[in-house]
Amino acid sequence: MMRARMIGDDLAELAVTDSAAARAVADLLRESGSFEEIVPTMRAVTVQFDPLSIEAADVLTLLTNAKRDAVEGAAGEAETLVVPVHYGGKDGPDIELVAASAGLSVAEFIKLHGARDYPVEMMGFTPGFAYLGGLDGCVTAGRLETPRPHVPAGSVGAITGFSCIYALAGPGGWPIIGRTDFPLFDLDKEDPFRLVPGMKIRFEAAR
Amino acid sequence: MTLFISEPGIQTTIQAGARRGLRHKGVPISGPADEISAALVNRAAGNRPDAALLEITYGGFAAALDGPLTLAVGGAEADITVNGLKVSPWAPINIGRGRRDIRIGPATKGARVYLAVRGGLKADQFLGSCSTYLPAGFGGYQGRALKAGDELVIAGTDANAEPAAVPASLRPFISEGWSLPALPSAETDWLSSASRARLFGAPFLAGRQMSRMGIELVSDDPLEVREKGLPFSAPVFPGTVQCPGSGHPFILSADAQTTGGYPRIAQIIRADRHRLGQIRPGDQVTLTEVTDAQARKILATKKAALAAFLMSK
Repeated sequence: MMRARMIGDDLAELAVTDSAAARAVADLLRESGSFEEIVPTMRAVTVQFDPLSIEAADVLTLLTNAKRDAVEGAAGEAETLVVPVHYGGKDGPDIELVAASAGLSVAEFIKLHGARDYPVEMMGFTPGFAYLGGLDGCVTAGRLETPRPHVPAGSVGAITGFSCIYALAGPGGWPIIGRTDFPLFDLDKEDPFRLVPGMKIRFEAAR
Repeated sequence: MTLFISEPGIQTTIQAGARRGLRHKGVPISGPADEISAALVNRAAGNRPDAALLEITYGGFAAALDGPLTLAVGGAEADITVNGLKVSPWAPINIGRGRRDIRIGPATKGARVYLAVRGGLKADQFLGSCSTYLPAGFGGYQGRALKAGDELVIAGTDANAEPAAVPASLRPFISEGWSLPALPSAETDWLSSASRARLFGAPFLAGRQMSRMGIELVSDDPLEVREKGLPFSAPVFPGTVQCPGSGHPFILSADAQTTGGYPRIAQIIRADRHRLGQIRPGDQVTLTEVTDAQARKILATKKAALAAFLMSK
């Protein structure tokens, strides 16, 4: 099985089983202070380092040891945020497309979308973009043929298997089903991003 | 003290230091696409290497300013004039008292011209850096590219050395043909053996899709890659070469997104990523495979050569 390997002269990647394992490894690696970037995703942890400060072989050892020593947080402790969403209309221009991909009416889709909790699997792509796992398998929408250059902050999207939230405005190719006014970004906080991998999101239709 | 923008050109932004350590929140590093040219121009103006300066894409820029002050220009090749008189790049330009016009002509080689004013430019700090990130609209000057009529204020806080000309040996070589040292990356073995051989060695053309996010590489013969996409989005970085289903790879640059779904088929080495900022559409680009040890040696040599000048007072 593939373990830690170099993927560039200043990049190394460690394969893991899921996002919870990736986060546990990333948290442990952060304590080492040896890395410029530590990026946990759904199947890997990738690190960037200065090759003039640390040898590649030592990086691979740090990664392998972190995988051995990492302790995952208990699943039951995850914080759940209730996020009110304005579904459809100009806030969610693609909701018909996404509902149709599931063979549902828009009203049925909204009910389905609010019926379960979604774990924040990872952040990435653009600033504050959160990948939420666990969307009902009946939704089979893909990414838009032509990405939008500007998706407003707070937009909520959905594709096969995933929902997403844009904490900040940015470009994007996901079909957009709605938008939330929930404060997702606060520069006055030490960590300005409200969504953190590991927490859970429950959507409800805003009034 | 103020810089009055009269012609901003196609895309001029304020760039400063990298926005490091936030890729796990989806935040790109940004900063100058050619960070070595930017650092050298800052040093020529007597600034810290990461002082806020202008990144002027393809030249074609004009501004008025009130002297006395010192500035420096370098990066892509372009004519520079002050009140119609030609001045040299890569060296301090001393502006006398009174209103002067500075004009930078179209870039004839390379893509990005840097203009630093002694003392640095005032800019919006966001998540630890003043660099502009256009897609989300933060940093720099109101998070956007400059427009005619914008007035930039000189910070005055970033001067830390005497202005000095950049030694000729340190000035980046701006070309129309680029040989970029690269290493195989996570999904390089997804390429057919013929495509792998072409990726490392055959010339590509830089396509019209060029931005601070990346550069498209075009050839008559698309690369063959085993799978069109990754099952799960994976981290990408400046210098990552991705290959979408079209078989036309692209190289990510300073504003690279933090994760992506296309196979990562090569990684431009750390020492040479600054050169990505000077590649323009139509340039020839060749990737040269190097070893990890060679990459480290190139980095150490380059860093040592630059350090003496950049750290000089």
